[in-house]
Amino acid sequence: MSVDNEERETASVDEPLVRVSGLSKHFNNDSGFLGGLQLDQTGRIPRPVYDRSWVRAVDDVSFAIEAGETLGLVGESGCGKSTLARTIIKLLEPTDGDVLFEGQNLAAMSGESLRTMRQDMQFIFQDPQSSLDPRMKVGRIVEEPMRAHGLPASDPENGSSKSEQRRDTARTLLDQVGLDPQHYNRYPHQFSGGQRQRINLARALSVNPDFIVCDEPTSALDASIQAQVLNTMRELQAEFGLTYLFISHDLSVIRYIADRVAVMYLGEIVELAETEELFENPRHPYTNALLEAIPVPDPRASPSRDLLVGEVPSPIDPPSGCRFRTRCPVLIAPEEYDFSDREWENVRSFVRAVTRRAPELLDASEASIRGTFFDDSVPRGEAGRIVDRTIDRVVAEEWDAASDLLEQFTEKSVCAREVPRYTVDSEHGTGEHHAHCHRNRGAEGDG
Amino acid sequence: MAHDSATDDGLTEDSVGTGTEPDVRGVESRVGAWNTLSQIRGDPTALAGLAIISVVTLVALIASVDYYLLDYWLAETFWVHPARDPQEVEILLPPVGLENDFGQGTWEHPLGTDHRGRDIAARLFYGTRIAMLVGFVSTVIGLVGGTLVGSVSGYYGGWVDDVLMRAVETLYAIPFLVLVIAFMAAFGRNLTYAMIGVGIASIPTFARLLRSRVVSVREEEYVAAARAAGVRTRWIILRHVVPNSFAPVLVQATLQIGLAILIVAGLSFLGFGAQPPTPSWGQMLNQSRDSMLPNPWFSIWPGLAILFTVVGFNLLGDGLRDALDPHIEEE
Amino acid sequence: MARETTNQLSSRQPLLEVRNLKTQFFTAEGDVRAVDGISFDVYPGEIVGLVGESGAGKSVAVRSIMRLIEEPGSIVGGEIRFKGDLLVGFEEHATQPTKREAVLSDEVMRRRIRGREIAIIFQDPMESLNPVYSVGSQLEEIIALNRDVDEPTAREIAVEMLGEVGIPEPDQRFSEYPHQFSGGMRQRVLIAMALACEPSLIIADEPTTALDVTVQAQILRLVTDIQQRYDTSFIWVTHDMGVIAEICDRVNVMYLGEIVEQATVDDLFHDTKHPYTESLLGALPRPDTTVDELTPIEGVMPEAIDPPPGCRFHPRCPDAREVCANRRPDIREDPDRQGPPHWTACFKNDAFDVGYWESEPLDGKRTSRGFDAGGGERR
Repeated sequence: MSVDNEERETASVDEPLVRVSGLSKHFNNDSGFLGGLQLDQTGRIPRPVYDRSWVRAVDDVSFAIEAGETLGLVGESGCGKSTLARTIIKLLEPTDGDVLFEGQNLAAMSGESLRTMRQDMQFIFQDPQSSLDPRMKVGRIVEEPMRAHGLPASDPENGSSKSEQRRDTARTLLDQVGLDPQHYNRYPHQFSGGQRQRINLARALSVNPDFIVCDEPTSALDASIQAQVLNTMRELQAEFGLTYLFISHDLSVIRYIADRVAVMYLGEIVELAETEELFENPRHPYTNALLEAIPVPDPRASPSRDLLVGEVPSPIDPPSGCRFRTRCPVLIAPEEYDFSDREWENVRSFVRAVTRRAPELLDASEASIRGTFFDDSVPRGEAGRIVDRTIDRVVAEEWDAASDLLEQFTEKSVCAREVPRYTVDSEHGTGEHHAHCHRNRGAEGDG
Repeated sequence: MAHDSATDDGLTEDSVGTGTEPDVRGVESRVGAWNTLSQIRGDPTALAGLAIISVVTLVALIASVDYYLLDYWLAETFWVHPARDPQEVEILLPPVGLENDFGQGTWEHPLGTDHRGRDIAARLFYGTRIAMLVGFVSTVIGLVGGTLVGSVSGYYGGWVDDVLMRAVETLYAIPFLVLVIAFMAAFGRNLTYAMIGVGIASIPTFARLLRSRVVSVREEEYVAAARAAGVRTRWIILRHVVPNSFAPVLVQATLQIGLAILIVAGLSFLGFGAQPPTPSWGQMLNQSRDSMLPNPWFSIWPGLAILFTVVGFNLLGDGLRDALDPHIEEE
Repeated sequence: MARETTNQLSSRQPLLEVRNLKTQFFTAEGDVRAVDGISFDVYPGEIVGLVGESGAGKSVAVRSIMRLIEEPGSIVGGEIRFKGDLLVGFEEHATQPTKREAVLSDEVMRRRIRGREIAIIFQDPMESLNPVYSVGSQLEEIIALNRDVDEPTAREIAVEMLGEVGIPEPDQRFSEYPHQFSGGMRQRVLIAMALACEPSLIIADEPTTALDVTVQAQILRLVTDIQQRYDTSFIWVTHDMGVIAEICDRVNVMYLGEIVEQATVDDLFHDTKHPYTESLLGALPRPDTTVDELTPIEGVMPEAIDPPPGCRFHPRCPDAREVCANRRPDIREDPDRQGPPHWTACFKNDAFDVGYWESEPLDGKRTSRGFDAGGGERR
């Protein structure tokens, strides 16, 4: 935290800068007050029913950000990371939960007190072009937040006016983020993408904030420009004592910039650990899958790998228990059936193939299915009978019936019944390692 | 084939992302009044529109000065008084160089005379004043009202939006002329109420147009950025939302002036606008109805005046649309 | 993956030969030399990468191959040969760009080459699919058009193709519309369309850039599968060095309309010759190891409307010397080299004898603030 903000810190020393607890953001899927109205076609005469469905974009997320650190937030498109970021700084109204920022609950604030609070937390958007008003000059853009917060607070001593003071500050900032202060009077379109993102940085820094949320700030930039901007952001962090929440879909960028990393999937954080620990000792199968999927810029690197199959389920009706279970390559066997490891592995790949109607099941005979999936071992007993009946349904191309049968396996797994919450021991570093996968049961650390 | 459709994005996409085309012509570079003017300068139809409007406006200004400050001095001295009946009646004369049952056109009345022997040129000249006054005043009323309603409704959304927009739609559902005539029936049958009536009746057009723009500009990231930086809502609307939503409204305003002129001419024709003896184009058309056969020029001249003025505003409006909207040029 | 040794490759005839291709855009601000004299070959069954930053001219280059350049741009020089046909060809010594007699007519190009022999996959699958027709009918149309089969057969092939590219339940999804598909699925449809006519060359213009990594990984695997099964050649345009490393056999690195380095993928990453390629690699954060400090080159690529004199990279090049500012290097093969050919357009290459090592370094003369060095303003 910057030096001149020290007197504002009334909260205890141990308290993190930002503490997010139980934060949720649900969107109404149907807009308008008649949007939820639908026709129920089940009866003979369709009758109107009122039913609103909710997109659970962010669901019960908790974490803390210490002053001076960079927390990386990574996930694929649609996982809710941008929504989470916007909800934290209250650009979106949270559905539930608290955000404690410097000891104050943002979730409960509104109006003028919230607006004043914004001086300490700034936001940087992904698209450096659309986040700058095309009709405003760069200088005015950088000065706008200062003006909004009445900075400088007191009349400067050297006799210059407040607006002159702001202009000086803006020029200094332009220089600090690596732009030419002479460009004060230019319009945003006269700059390249990387330079525009630097203007955004200057604007964010103008009110001397403690906390900056960066929503994919470099993903619209070319690699070399991205590296320049990342380096500048690191320098500014050291110089101004900034705390970053850095959101990205790119694990490489996260590994470079973040001190700790949170991985998001379908509105939830599935793993959170220090950077080195997360990349070297991932304990959640989704993190693993992400790491496997990034192409490494080295042709000699082993070309992996277990690819994730299928697609992300709808956030309107997310899977019970662990949300990743429908795509998980290491789903845990249900205890009711006495599967051997080999049997369960076969059943699991068969389940996933049926769920996504895999091509090898189309027009397949019973023999070919058995050959493909149950080559070396077939489950015995009750489980075996379920598999037999499912194969019959698949051959008859009754997919829903087949899926229903297989749910007897998947829905009985611990992954479907319990929401995983685990903390494991870190192998690298000393920080906490949260890895929300039932595979970590029993391996829990003391934390 | 599907492939061909995606090939024409050649130079237009911005190269900030992953597009690899050279960014020769940034869309955002089209900012500011000077830029708009230089765009129009290169557009012959818009220039023609601008020329027509300049001439008409100039005429209207001269006529206004003469009417308000000099009490028809110009007309009395150099011409014929447009409102008073002349002494020696030479009715329904044709334009100079032509001949009809009533006589030979002379230079004294270059465009001919009307059914009471008044000079058509002089009446057209002073009619311009009414036309432009009506066009501008009613459009300003509509513009101010519409901007207020549209920006508030668009930015705040929710129930504010619902209430305002339903009100505006109610207004919109009543046919334009019926609304204006009802208004005048309630308040009075003169030019002032005609202008106010047309102005109010055009509020829905502006309000809906601006609202739809504001709703999309509101979602722009620079608005979110200003919000995140803690900028006050009032300031955001004034400095970010309205300036960035205004282009189509400006275009609509230009077109609306032409439309208002047309409508008030229609009202005058029906006897609801400017009352005799004040000369106005619509009224001239009305009076010419019975003389259409003996002297068609009596109705042709005011008709042409209306046509030119309205076409002038439409040409300029289209030119402005091209100049202010970057997407049209891309095609 | 089709990593054949280049010795094997060179014994075969190239499928596509591009020689000294030049494409320009004539704008009010001046002539943009988007592609300025590039040469490369594509052999049967290989994946050739074309990598570079925004504005390097990659897309223009591959669109030139398909002759898809439209006003205000046009191809102004060079030669493109595909299976013996001349797709582009200009008289060499004419003062005005003059097309040669043997060049295929637009009609033949449309009927015989585009789609049938060379297919192209664009970055944005939503833009390449017509939203008002079902995915299947669009695929079917292309097949019926290019394969001379009747409608039921075309439909059969279309369903089969959809299955082939990994779309579940192709029978049902055949009649669905583009918006009902996810981004990855749409890209699969485009691949199916490209494959539909069994072309010998597929040009992929950043097809995975808009996709998530896990989906990108699926698509890359699909492409390498297809490449092996059909022995199709690919030109893969991307800005992502990771993707290049993963699927390409040989790579061309583009900078400001020129190819500055051409090598096998292994040489490019492990025996990097051109300072620009080095700087590209130095700017990459890695997923597999911790990088303490990224070392990007300063500045941005200048506009192709007014390229720097001499070597186009010299204003940003850490190794630039005086000779680089005055003379323009063409691309040459290292003469003493063993193994697969490796071409660079840099005076550090021994193939040039222009006195690079004797020349004065340029270090002090460049602007201190690199990112404003060139092209700071955009208009």
